[in-house]
Amino acid sequence: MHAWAESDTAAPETGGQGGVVQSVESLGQTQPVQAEDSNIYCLTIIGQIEGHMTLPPQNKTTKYEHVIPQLVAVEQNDSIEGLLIVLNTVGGDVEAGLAIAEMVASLSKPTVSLVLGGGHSIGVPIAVSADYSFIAETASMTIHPIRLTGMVIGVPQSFEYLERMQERVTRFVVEHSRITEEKFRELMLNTGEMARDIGSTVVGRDAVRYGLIDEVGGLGQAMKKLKDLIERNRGSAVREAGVVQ
Amino acid sequence: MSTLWTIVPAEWLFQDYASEPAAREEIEVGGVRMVVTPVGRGQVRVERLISANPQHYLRPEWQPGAIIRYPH
Repeated sequence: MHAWAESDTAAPETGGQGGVVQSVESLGQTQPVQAEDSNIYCLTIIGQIEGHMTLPPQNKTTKYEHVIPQLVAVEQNDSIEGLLIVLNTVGGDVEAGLAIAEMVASLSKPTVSLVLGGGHSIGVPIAVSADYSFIAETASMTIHPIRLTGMVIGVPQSFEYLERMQERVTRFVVEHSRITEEKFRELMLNTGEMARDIGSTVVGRDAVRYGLIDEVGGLGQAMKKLKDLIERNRGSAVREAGVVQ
Repeated sequence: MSTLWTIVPAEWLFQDYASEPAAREEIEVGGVRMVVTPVGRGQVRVERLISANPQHYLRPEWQPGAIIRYPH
């Protein structure tokens, strides 16, 4: 038994006049903001990806406990046909970031990611988790090992634990992009480039050259690609239905 | 366990760590529970939803950071 309506995301909880009164009371306006009649959902990943711990208030954060149900809703909602993920992040909680990356990778609908500004650290797996990834020319992605500038809180981390965590991140990135494991490690262990760490900052075109990101581009290209993927997805669904007949 | 993998140095990230966290309340709006922070003038800021209905998380008026009027 379904406890919720499938596609109507903007309907007031109580109908008619009661609904208007409720809206004024709770939202300070006469009508709740209507959800766009768009078949594309845009998810922004910004600032720090906040996971198990709330960060102090001067940090801008992406709250993963909100992003996860949003991704469930995108998967479930029939009127949403594709997902655009826009990233401008300095990294953050490893497990929360990987949770988001895995959920995006396992969505059955077309996904396109766009890295603007920065897609650093744990932003790398999220960027490559989409079906197709773009990076703006001026955007950069820092590839560095988890153990060095990563802050470890709580249980003292053993070297082995960090090694295994690094392994699973490396494996995820290599499996979801065209970068080779050798190249990724080479970038990650590069000395001499960063002031307080080892690693490399890869800018726009280089990210594509190394096979990490699919294409240099911006919003226009990302939207067009997503629309193409949605068309193709619709086409194959129609063909499948045809075969059943 | 919380491992933060970020280019932001730890001293910047945790600058304000010792200060009092903002008071948070759990309230119900439109039949949905949510965690909010009072911001004065009869308004609260949405921090997160607590709902089993995924569609609630897509509503623009309930995104984290949105301001709503409360108490009614």
